[in-house]
Amino acid sequence: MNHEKVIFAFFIVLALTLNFGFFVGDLSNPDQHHVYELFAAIVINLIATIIKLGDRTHIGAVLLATSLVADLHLLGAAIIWGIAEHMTDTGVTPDVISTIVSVSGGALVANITSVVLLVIETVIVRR
Amino acid sequence: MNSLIFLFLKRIRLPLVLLVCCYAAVTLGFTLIPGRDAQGDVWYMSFFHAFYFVSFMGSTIGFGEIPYEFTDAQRLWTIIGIYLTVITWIYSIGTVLATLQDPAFRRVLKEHRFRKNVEHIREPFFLICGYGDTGRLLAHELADSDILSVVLDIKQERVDILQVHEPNIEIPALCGDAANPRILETAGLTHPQCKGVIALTDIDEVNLQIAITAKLLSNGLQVICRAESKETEVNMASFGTSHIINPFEIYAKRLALSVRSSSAYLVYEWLTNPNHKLRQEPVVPPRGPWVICGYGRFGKAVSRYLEYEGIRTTIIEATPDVTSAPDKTIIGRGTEAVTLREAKIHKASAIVAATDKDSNNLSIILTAQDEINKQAEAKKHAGATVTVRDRLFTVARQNSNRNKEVFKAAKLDFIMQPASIIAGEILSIIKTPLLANFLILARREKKGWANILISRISGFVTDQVPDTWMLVVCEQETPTIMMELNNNRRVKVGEILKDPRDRNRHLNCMVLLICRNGNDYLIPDDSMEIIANDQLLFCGSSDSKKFLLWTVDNYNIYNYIRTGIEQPGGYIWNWMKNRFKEAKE
Repeated sequence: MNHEKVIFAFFIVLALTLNFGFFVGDLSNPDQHHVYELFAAIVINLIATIIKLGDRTHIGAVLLATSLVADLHLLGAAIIWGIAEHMTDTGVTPDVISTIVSVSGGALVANITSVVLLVIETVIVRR
Repeated sequence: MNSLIFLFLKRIRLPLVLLVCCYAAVTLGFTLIPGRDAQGDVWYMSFFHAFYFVSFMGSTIGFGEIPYEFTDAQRLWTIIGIYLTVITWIYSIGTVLATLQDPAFRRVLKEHRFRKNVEHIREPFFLICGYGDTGRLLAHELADSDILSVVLDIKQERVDILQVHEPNIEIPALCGDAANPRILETAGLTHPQCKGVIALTDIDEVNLQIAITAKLLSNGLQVICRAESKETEVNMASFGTSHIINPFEIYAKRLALSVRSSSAYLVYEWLTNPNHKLRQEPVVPPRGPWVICGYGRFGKAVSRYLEYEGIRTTIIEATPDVTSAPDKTIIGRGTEAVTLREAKIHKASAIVAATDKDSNNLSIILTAQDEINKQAEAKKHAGATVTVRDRLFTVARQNSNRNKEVFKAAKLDFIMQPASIIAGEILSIIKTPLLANFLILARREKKGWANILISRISGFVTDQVPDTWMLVVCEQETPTIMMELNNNRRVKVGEILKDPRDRNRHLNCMVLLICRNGNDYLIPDDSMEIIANDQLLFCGSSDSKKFLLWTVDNYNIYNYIRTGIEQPGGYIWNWMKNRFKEAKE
């Protein structure tokens, strides 16, 4: 029972699930996309990126790359939300929410890729 | 470089995760705890405001309670937040610093920097393995001649001290095992600009390993090795090492040469010694019986060469079975008067202190001199005359450069320093390869020949050891001679040796050897012709070297020497001269 592998897989899958949880729902309905879930998704994604650092294999490099893409998207979504809420007069309109959610959708695809790669790696190693 | 970055990233993973968690938790807390706005209504911080506050709290900037004053619940959370974030930051920064200070990390960093330095070398260089006394002397002399070297040594202190010895030039140096082929490759064994590998470590097996590695991994690289035992020497020669230097054999050979013909020995000394000492008068060692203390490699070599010259030797050795000393060896170290008397020091005319400990060697010499002085005193008392023969000729082996001053103070006749012998040989191999040919030929000549050569060289150089240098007749090195040859004119040796300042005078130098198509012409006279691709070996004062190089490089100077007329140089002047000539006719 390899503890490091458990933690590694745990965070990667958790990142995907939280991201999906934020994404799912009507694209422009603000009630269906909770800000705390975005927050949790960002934090877990960052942690997942950090634990992927320092891997010298090819597949490790690609995993790190997908994680960085997901981080980029989610942080972008958070910035859009922050700017819309505090720095514009109109606040968070359904328009803005749909932008935020679609950006997080991009992060979702990156996280899916990450999990797929993890599964492939596990299957190949098959220990 | 990649491995360095990966190593670093792996180490900082935990601190980074802790930082993220800490900031996330504190930010979350701030969004959940209710505050009061200016009107007293309940107000929740958004993530934006919470993150803003936590940012300047965690970096200990602290602008204040923005945008509204905090409630006590918020203040409590702030206290928790401050201690959490600051401690996490300190831990993270500490880990980063510890990673950078880690000896393994620094070693990887040093090796990486060294490899980059070596890769960027764009001029010819020599790889020196081993930075002891010999390596240091050699690197210094090479640096003086503007030749770059790369240094490898197994001890870190020696590599560190390189910076102190050579502060003016950048010599790439690495601490590593030279017997490891990977390290040799990192140090530039397979670099296109590497001109030679010089193996100078203390251990013969390591030198052997370096020679083999260099032979197999590189194409035709010059390999110069130090070998202290005969077996290693033969081993290295068997797979074609370019040059093997056994300092003991070399010195013993020279010692025997100095007994046989002091002028031939002087020629050797002058032409190969790197220390640029002031010229000394030749010292003639006596032919009487010699006492050799210590039958190690040096003792064996000296005894063998002296016996070959017909000189009787008595050997003193502390462990004759270990060193396989011959039957009539006196057992003892030679540092005690008793042993020396047993070896009949009073009848001997010379003593060689050949052990591998400097303290023993000095002790032997002092004890022997003491004995002789006592004998001289006794003679004086008895009324007999004290002859010069009562003085003992002393030769001692100096093992470590540290004891240089002590040996100098002992006023010995000959000091054998393995380091300067090896360095001298290597320098002459590198700078003037023809010198080896010359010395081989010189040894075959008769006694009188060396005397004539000495007196000729003495005519040029008054108080310093003469300089030796080489020239190859080709476009790059001697364009003026090539120009003459291309115009189908003949060039004689005497012509280029004329002084550019006054062509009726001769420069203070001479040609020792001309090497042409594998044939060697020893000390050619002035009427000998020079043709293309000749290799010439010169000897003379440093000033004359400068003038000679000027002559072979500058067309105007050469024309002056040849014709005696100052030729005008530029196009315009020549054109005008031709016009005037035409006008006259």
